[in-house]
Amino acid sequence: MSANWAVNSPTRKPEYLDSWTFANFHNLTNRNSGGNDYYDKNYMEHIYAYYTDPKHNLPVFIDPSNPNKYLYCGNTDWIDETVKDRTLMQQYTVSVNGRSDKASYYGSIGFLDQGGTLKHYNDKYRRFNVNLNLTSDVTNWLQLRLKTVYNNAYRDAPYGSNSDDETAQLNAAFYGADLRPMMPVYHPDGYFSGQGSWTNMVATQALSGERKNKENDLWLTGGLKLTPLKNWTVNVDYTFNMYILSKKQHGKEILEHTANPDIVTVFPHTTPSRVKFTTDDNYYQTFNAFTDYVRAFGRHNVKVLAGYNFEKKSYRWFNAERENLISNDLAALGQAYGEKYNGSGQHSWATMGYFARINYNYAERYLLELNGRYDGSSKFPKDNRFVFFPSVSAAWRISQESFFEPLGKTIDELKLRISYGMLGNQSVGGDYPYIATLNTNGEMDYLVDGKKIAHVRPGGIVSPFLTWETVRQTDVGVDWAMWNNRFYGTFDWYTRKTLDMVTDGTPLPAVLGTGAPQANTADLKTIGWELSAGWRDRINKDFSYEMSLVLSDYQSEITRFNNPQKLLFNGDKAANYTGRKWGEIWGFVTEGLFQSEEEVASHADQSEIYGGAWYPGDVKYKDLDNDGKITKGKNTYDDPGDRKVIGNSEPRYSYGVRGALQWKDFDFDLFIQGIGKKDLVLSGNQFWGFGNEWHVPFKHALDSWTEENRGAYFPRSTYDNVTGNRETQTRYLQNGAYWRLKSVTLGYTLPESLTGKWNIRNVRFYISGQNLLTFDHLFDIYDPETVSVGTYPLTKSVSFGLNITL
Amino acid sequence: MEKNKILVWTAAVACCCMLTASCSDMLDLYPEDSISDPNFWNSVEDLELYADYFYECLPGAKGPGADDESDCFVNEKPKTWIFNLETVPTSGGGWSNNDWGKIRACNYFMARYGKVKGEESRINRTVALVRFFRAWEYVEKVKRFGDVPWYETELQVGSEELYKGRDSRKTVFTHILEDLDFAIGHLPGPGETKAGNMHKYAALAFKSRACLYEASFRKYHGLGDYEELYREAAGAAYRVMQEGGYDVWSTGNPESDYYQLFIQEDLVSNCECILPRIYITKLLMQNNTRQMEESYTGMSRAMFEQYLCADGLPAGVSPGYREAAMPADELGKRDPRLSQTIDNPSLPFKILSDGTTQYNELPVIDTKYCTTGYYVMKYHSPDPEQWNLAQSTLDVFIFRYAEVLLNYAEAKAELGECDQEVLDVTVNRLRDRVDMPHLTETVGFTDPAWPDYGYTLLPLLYEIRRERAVELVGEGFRWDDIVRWKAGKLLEAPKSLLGMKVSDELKSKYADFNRELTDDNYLIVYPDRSTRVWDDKLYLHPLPIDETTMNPNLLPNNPGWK
Repeated sequence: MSANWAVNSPTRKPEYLDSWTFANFHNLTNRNSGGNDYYDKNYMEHIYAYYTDPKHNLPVFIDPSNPNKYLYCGNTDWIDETVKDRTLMQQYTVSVNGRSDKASYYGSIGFLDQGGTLKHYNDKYRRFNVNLNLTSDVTNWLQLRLKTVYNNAYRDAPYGSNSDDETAQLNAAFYGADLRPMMPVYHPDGYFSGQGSWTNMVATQALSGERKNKENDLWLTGGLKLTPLKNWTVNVDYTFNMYILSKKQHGKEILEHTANPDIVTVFPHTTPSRVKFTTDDNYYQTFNAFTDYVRAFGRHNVKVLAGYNFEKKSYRWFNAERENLISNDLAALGQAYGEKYNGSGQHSWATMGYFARINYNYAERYLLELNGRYDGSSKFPKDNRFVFFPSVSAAWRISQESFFEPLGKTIDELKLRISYGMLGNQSVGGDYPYIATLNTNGEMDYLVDGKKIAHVRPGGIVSPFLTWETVRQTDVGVDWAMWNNRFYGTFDWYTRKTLDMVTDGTPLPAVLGTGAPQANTADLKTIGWELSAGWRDRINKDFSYEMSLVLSDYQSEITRFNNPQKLLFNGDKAANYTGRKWGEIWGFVTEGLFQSEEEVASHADQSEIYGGAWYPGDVKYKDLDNDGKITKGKNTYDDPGDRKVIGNSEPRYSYGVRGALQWKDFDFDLFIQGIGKKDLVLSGNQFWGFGNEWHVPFKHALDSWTEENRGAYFPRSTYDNVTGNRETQTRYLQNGAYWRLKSVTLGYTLPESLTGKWNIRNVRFYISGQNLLTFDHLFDIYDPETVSVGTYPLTKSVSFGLNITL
Repeated sequence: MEKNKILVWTAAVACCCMLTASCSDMLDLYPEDSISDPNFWNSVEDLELYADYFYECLPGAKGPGADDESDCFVNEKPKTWIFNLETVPTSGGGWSNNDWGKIRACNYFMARYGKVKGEESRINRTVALVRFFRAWEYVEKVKRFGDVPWYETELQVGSEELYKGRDSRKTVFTHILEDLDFAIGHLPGPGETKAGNMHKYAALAFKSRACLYEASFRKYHGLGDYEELYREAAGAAYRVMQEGGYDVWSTGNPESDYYQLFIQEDLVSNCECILPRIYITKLLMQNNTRQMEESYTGMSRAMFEQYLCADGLPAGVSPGYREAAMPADELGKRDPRLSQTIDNPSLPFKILSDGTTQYNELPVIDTKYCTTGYYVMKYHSPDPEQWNLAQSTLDVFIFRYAEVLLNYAEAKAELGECDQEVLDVTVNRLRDRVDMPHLTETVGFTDPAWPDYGYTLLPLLYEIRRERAVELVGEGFRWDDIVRWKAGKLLEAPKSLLGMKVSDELKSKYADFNRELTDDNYLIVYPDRSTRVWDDKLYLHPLPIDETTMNPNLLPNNPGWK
């Protein structure tokens, strides 16, 4: 039995700007963008009054141009108002296992309750699971196996908004980008603020309705193992999985009040009130049958295996929705009078494979393995459906050689390995990517005769020649163990060629009217290595310890892609071309920020980046091709203008370090994980500050160039559309390297003398922390593992747990 | 035991064999919830369903931004295009594969509709609809880019035509006319089809618009071959006027009819509406009232000065005219359309829940609402229900009869055939709605304040252009007019950047007047800019860099662009 109670908090909780700092920064930005102060003198006075003395001032005042409207001058930290600092999570498991001479069993039940993170809504996540495994030797040549896993989960979250986009829904209740600190949570009369123009996140949490999801996931596996002859087994198993996700969404209408008690308006993002049910009903089945035969002839050992495997997944979903609930609080399809909507979908895929393997070894010293697979997938057209994938590997346990004996005292195990093989990958988008389909819209935003019309329109172009991606890998490795198995490790070096990768094809002229079809058009080569090594030792019966390290690195490069002009970008996305290093970042080199008008005038012409005026405080790009202009050239590899490769976004030198020690009844474990080198291009208003006037910057954006702050990190603060400062460039390339104390655990096991008295085998208490410490080079708002801000962040937790074994 | 073993073993092997035998069929899976192309194209209903896709092209409620890129409006932030701040984009800019998607959809249809057997007139209607929208899409491309490649077949990944050069706008327009004429010939009349469906007279109205555009562009940009097009424009407009049964809407209230025309709940039965964009509560709604109220823009002084005085003469010519100190008095002296376009103390602003009506005593000068003091109220309804965000149910014009009348008058005038008879059924019909004196074919005055187009015109053309600007302000025609008249000079007029004149008396009435004024007391919108310089390259948009790199045959780019 085990129990665990944890206190979770987000790894990063951005700090909101206060109203006075924000208003001044916004005025500065607005002036820098060609306008006047965004908040006039009168408005600023109100903000300052409340900021310095909230007790004697109101957070609102009447708009001089509109007597029915309030203007907001409060000081609210919206993230603090909506998100809890700490939540509680509990987890319990009970498991039992046993065996007799003819049967064995294992069963467990678990329960998890994750406390909600929202302050004004009782959000929940609960999960319950049951496992049951039985193995029974019916006869001495027949063994039956049964395995059952059942998961049930329940999630409750606020409705947020009418959008179908889950991110938008969560943003409306959890983290929005445009809530200004001046907006108070409530008007002086007690109603929620918002006035139909702003989304009040506290109001949406409390009043917008709910989304309740139930998940049921059942896995049943039955198998049998036959042993017709002593060294010959036949295994057959079948797995059935049923997954049902039922969602109920209830959107409530919210009334918003204004400064005039007679004017009440409706919150636009949850109107009209509605209820929507969605059910996902998915089935998955696999069937495996294989047989193997083992035989030894003297010092030769042979094992032969052959088999078949089949998998099928089918999806089905449908939904029903009705608007205008009779009672805002009662959500039922029959208790509504508005428009009805429904939809459904159905699709499936299947794969099938035949495989065979031969293992041979001589005296456990020379080992050889041969493999072959013949795989087919429903996603590819008949002619290209099946592909054959062979592989071979060999190993030499040097430590078993007779000439190795002298070293045998120190080196316990030394094994050299080499392998070469091919496997297939069916990673294409969609389940029928080679069949041209038409798209339908049953609800166009165009009315004819009082009703919405429907249409059918062409889908994208498809390639009739799609087939498997082939991954060919060559690997060379060595395993070792030394000094009585105290020092151990493995090292692998590999090159991998991914051939016929399915990607968007060559960039094609836009007059085609649609994107290029997915096709097997690219090849990728990856070279990498992995090292894992460790040391463990037991000093005496009370004390033992272990340390281990895992370190790996790889680099990839595109070796084939049809982009003859080597265009660098396809729209906004980086385009592939032969020779492109995966993850490479093209950008400008920043010389610095302009410090004076003369510097602007004497520098190269930057008008192709931004056609308006450049001022002191703007970015000075380096003229790499010395043509007197800063340009993007033809946007190709051969003519990138003044850009070059300034970094790479792929992670390099990933490592993990683990340490464990055991002293008497105490055990201690820690795990650190990190990435040695990685470049990140962060963009958007979260990074730069103001994108447009509706954004609220974070603290780091305040360090922007002004006459008084000439050494600032950011250029002078403006909106997106009146600046050329925000191109990808060396100055703002972020360092994504980090290391993190992923987990640390201290445990204590009650002495046996104590527990033995009650026939309890083992009782262990532990205290553990996850993600407690992080060292990174990013601004405070970013978590180096997830990078983007918003929606549910990673959690940092401290937990206390208890294991009891009877 | 042995027998059991053999039985089980045999059964297992047999199962395996059975399964592997029926194998490859199990991987033959087909889409279960989408239509695949080979299964479509069976009946006329399929064609109608496909053709309905193109209704997405039609515009709806445009809000205050409709004419924001022009000399008539002054947005709170300088519009980057007309201030010449934009550069050649790397991609997109109106030439992305999405932008060409509808033309592909047209040609996809044209390549396949032949498979369907059915009633010929019904099939022809669907073809007419598709060809109308192919013409519509190409007109948009020609307006934006000038010369563009013409495609009338379905392009494939390997088509050589993907890399062909640009066809001249004259070639493209010939094809456009063929498509339009077919559409006009085969679309039903409005009485033979449901409200909201495209019909013959809407197609004719569009033809008059497109031909007038192309004819003026060719004339004023010196390309020649325009006279025939003016005739086509006049001919198409004339057919609408003769056969359509439309008229200028009026209820006999000249001081409110023009304003009321744009806030009608239902335009389907309105005699001035050729094609409405219908909005119905809870089904499809628009956001005009809210956006016109928080517009962040306003009418420019330059546009204001185009309105004639109530006696039919311009301000510089009308005897005894003196500009009033208070705008409310000024509006009363001018063309009644002014006080029905701009907010003033006699225009209802909002009806409150206690039944009283709110009027704005002073011009609004908070830049969030109105930058210039000339607060445009066209499309703004005082009904608080219409003010709810995106909940407005008022219908909006897609094609308005007034535009057709103005197209006819201008085309005839350019042909030298605009006599009093023509004026009386066009310009003067519009003037009758607001009780303004008629325009005579000799005009009878010279206005010192005629706009500087960069060239001189006959007085009649100046006046017809004035009438067009006044009648159609805020409806989205102004930029196209500037381009086709080669009138970029209008954007250099200082008053196209300024707001209303603020007399001392007016200034004193505000509790807190914090806007800046010029020496002549005009409201300044851009404190750091007092001029705007026009560059001829702005008449056309540039093709993006990626496209010209992929297909160098598209070069050279439009004049003035790298």
